[in-house]
Amino acid sequence: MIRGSAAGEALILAALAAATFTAARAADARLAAASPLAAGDPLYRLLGSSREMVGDALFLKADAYFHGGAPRHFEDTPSDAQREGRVEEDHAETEEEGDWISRIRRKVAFEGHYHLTGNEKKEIVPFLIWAVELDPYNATGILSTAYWLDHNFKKTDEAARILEKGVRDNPAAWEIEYNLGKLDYRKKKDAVAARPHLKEALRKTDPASMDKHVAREIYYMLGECESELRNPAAALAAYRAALASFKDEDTVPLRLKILQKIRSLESESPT
Amino acid sequence: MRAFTIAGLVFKEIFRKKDFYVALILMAVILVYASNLNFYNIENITRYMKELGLALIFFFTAILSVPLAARQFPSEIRERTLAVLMAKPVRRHEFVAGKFLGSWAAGMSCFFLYYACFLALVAAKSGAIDVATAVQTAFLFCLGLMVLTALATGLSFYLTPPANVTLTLILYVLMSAYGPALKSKTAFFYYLLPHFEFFDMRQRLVHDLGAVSSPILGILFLYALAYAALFLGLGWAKFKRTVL
Repeated sequence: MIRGSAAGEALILAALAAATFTAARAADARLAAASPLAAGDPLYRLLGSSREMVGDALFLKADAYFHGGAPRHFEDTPSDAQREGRVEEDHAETEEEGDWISRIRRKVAFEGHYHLTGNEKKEIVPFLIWAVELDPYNATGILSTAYWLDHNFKKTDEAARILEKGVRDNPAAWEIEYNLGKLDYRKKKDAVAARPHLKEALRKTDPASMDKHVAREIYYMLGECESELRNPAAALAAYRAALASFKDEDTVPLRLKILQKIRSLESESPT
Repeated sequence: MRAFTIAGLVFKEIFRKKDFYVALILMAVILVYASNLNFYNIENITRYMKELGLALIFFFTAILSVPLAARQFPSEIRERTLAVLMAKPVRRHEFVAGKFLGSWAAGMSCFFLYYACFLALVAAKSGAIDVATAVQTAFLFCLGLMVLTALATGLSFYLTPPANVTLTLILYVLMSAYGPALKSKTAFFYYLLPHFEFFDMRQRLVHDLGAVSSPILGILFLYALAYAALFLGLGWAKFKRTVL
């Protein structure tokens, strides 16, 4: 009985070792090559359809890491919800007044408001990368990963690769097209690469349903790209669309800048 | 004293079996491999490795300790050595205490060996460890292990080893992961069962969030002691009525 039990445990451990190694090797190979996951990928086969669930869990883990490992954020505490008016005062049971078990738990597990700062931010990268590798349909995860790689670690090319893969895996997600176009235009200064993504972002959704600031930015960047590629008519149309998102009385610098560009283009080709 | 003699025999058992070494090698290989993963050439990313390492240590220690404690009494019955042992001047409470102490000490020795390897690897990779938090993490884990092995030892007088291991590990995982959520579901179990999440300081060690205050450690020591005494008392209560 004892021998049988030991053999069983050894077998489980061996299986776990094989599984972990397969997963780790597959992940490492892809991280090095940054190539899209193939259907025959060992990690895909190992996790099966549960990979998206694991990917989502890892994305939440990345979020928890950003908050010092606390799965529940400061913004979500009852007192904070009450302060924001999301919970009525009478119904807001504050954790601080919980029973002795809650109080001890809070002393052991850190549940304060904490965000990664400076050099610590790199710690969430593994979880973000694994999250988008395992769940390629998580558009929020893709955008977050690309944002972090680009903004915090200056890994613009890697961020672009993740977004390009995101576009292939999520053909209906206009946000990914928008972010890819933005990255190409603002960071890579590549109007030729940016233009089709910005156009696709507008084609994939109704611009009227977008946040007006986002729609304005897309039209403005498109206008800039068209202008740079010497398509004055297209640039003018894009600038006019961007201008339409402002109120007439707006005096924000961008509106004045767009107005100036429109006047300049109109004076060059009065028709 | 006689309890310690029994504990010594139990302690040796874990190192006679291959499970301990398999787990050690497996963990070392996984950790070395994980420490060499490259994330777009971003240097010194260590927290994922700490988290993985601690999870493996906690997992393997629990997996090795619970079956060890659970099979002690049933194996004495099966191999007909209990009557021989009890014919010697060994009281029943000494038998229970010895089996528990041996299982707990064996589990702790596994833990400290794994933990030393882990800390060495983390120090080599990141170059810095908060010693106070690392010591407290180990201390609290050992307290948790005390409750866990006491639970398995106590249940071994009521259940067969497979049932005991299953029930103990379910309770361990349930209370570690969902202990806080039990309050809204069933307050009875929330207050009755030991809160294993109290003994888990991994978050503080992984995220460098600092140590816990000494009074809390004292309270948790008493908490663990109370639950261990309760579980062993239940085991002893059954054992003293057992006809050999």
